[in-house]
Amino acid sequence: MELTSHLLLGLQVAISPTNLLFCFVGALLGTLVGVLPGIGPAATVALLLPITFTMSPETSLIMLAGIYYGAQYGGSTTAILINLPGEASSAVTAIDGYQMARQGRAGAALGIAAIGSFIAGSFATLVIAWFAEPLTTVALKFGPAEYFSLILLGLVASTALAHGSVLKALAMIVLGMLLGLVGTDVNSGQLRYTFGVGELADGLGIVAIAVGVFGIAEIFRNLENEQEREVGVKTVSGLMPSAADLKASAAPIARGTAIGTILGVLPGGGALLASFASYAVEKKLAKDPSRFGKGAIEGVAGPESANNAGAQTSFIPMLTLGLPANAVMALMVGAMTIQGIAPGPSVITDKPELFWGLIASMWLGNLMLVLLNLPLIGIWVRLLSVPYYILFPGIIAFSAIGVYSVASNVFDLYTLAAFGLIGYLLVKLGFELTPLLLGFVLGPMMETYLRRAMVLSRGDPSYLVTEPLSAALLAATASLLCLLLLPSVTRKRSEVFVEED
Amino acid sequence: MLKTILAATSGLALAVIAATASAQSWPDRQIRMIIPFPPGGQQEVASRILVEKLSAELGQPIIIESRPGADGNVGTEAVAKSTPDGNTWLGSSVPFTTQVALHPKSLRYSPTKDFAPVATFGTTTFMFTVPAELPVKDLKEFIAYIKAQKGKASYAGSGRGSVVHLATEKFKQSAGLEMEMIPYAGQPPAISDLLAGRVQFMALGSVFAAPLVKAGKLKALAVMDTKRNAELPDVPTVVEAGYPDLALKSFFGIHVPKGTPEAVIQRINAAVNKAIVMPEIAERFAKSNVDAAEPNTPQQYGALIEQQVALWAGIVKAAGIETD
Repeated sequence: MELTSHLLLGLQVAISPTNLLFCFVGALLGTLVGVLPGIGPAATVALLLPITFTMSPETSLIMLAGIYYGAQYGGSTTAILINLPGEASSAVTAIDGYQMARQGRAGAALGIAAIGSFIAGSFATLVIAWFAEPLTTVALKFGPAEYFSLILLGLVASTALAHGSVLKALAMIVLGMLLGLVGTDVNSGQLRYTFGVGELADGLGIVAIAVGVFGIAEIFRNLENEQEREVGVKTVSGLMPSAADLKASAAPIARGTAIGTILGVLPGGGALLASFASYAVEKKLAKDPSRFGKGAIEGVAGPESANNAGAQTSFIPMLTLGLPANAVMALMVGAMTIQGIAPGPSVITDKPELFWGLIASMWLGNLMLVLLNLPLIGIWVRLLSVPYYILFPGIIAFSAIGVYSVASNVFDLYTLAAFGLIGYLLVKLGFELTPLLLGFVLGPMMETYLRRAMVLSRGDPSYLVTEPLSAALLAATASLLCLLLLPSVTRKRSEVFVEED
Repeated sequence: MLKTILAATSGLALAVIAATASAQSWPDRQIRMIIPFPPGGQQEVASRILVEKLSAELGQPIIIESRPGADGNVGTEAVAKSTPDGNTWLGSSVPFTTQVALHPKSLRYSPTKDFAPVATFGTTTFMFTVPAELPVKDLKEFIAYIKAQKGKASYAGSGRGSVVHLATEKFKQSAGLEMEMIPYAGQPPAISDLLAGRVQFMALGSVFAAPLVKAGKLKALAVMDTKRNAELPDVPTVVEAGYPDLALKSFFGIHVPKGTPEAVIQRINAAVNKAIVMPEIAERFAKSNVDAAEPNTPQQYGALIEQQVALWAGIVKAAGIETD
């Protein structure tokens, strides 16, 4: 009853012409920056922050939120079309999405991504409306020990991301983790592996690495066999997912939504794990896991849903406790402060029109996004028929602009170029790059949490198993590891997952 | 030879004339104010409110640019290297004065030798906060509680060498406490472990503390100021609690590279002083828990910086946390 009146209040706020307009503006801008490689929502929100000065608090947050989840929709587009994920989360989409595009099924991949995202976004919005407050307590149950165990579980599960040799996947995870060590040690403030380069004090840029090893390396690879030009797939069969596609995707979308919704609530990096976790689950549950990495639609539907659900529920800790889950959320906290609203438990009670208006606008925004994105698919797919010698300089230029826009740092461009080359060499040697990116993102997080847990417990490792939630996660990790290491399974694995290219 | 000398002298004369002219015609183009921290912070919020007025007063747009990295050293260094023509400003705050003590060897700028102070425009405070269920009512009980823990207690710091870290070290030194610092990347990520009671203490920015204390999720034991906080008037000051040397207010100000014409510095200073007495500014600052500063001269702000540099150097030395 109370919920209905709250949602009605929210809808009233959200459908006022101004708010509706800025919700659309935000969603559209988000889609655009999501599509442009490298230019992420964080840079866009930072740029638009001063403009929100003049708006009402509701309008400003509705627009900024629109940019954020709009970018989640848009980010998958380049990942699918040109193997260029703008963020770590869409790197998962690129695995099977890009293969689908190569098979002429780009339309189906983009369509299922949009549909999955919409379903996930709508469900997650309802979860926020119903359970925001109880879920806050769940978020607080996760301390350093729990986060460490969760990420460890994620890393072990992520070997499922590789469709080739397990050993090579592990090597890539470790290399990624090592690259993640570069920068300032958080506990002692000492510089690690910076070799006197001041720009490395804050570590290597994630965007530069992601765009480099995926996008730029892919360009090298394509130019190598320019004659065959496999990028501009000529035969594009159908712009929409077929009935069979939808049937195959229904369960992955539901599971992805559930996984993303739960993980998104954890401000310490849950949303980041969502798409990886969903992919691992889908591959484990699939009747024929060998299809993964070769254009399985489940590998797009699940992670995309998980990603969008996580993006939505990560608003919960921000709105109820003022805890931002990522850089974009931190900027939204700033936007609220500028408006004189202290993000925290009082927002729901003191500013119900803001809280419920934002939630209602999220659902409207998701609807706008699916309506906006489905017709765009035709245009995106046609982009593939642009001759590659015209397309690739454009991709490089946009990538460079995007990478530079993250921190206005020239050094990031060197990183981009270097990792383009590294990515190319690794692909030539038969290594996959998604585990590398995963190790790079999760490694430093895992280190931070482990060391934080160790300082809290004064160096007693049993702390990790005496905390019940952490112990449960570690037990799950151990059983998964056994499953992976069982000789019979391994043998079957290497038979099934022989590298094809 | 004569020609060269002539050319050199006239060149020099021209340069002098140009410098004077530029000071007179300043500002003739857009001004950049670099905040050396990630966007969205309290300093940026307050600076944006301020430059709206400064821009109207000086007749040129002022762009706020966030240039984060290495605890503020990346952006600060960039300003130190920029042309001293008054068109590039640094948003200075407490970290500007702590870095020289933390990195005496590797720091590539000096807050006093490479920069000229302009004015300070706002202050903000930190609060001593503890989890809601910690069985203490006031600072005295807290100190007794921590002492009884015999070194098992931890506190949250927003990164090594951050103001939160150093201020708590100062508190530990003054009260004779034993607490281990748990580092977090900024204040918001630390709040979750504080709320859950995994850490027992945090000197938390009042902008974050006030809503959580009001909602009963955290307890505030003292405010690190000489006067009580308007948002939480029931919380005593550290002076009242018996620790006057912990009234470490945080400040926001403007610096320009050394060599900027004195006339330009004076003009910016006058514009700042004109803005900070406006009731509208006070009101908008208050919403982000920032107090407008009293009107001040560049010399006064410079003296504050020198006093802060000395203060933090003492704290860093006593705590043994130098990192070079």
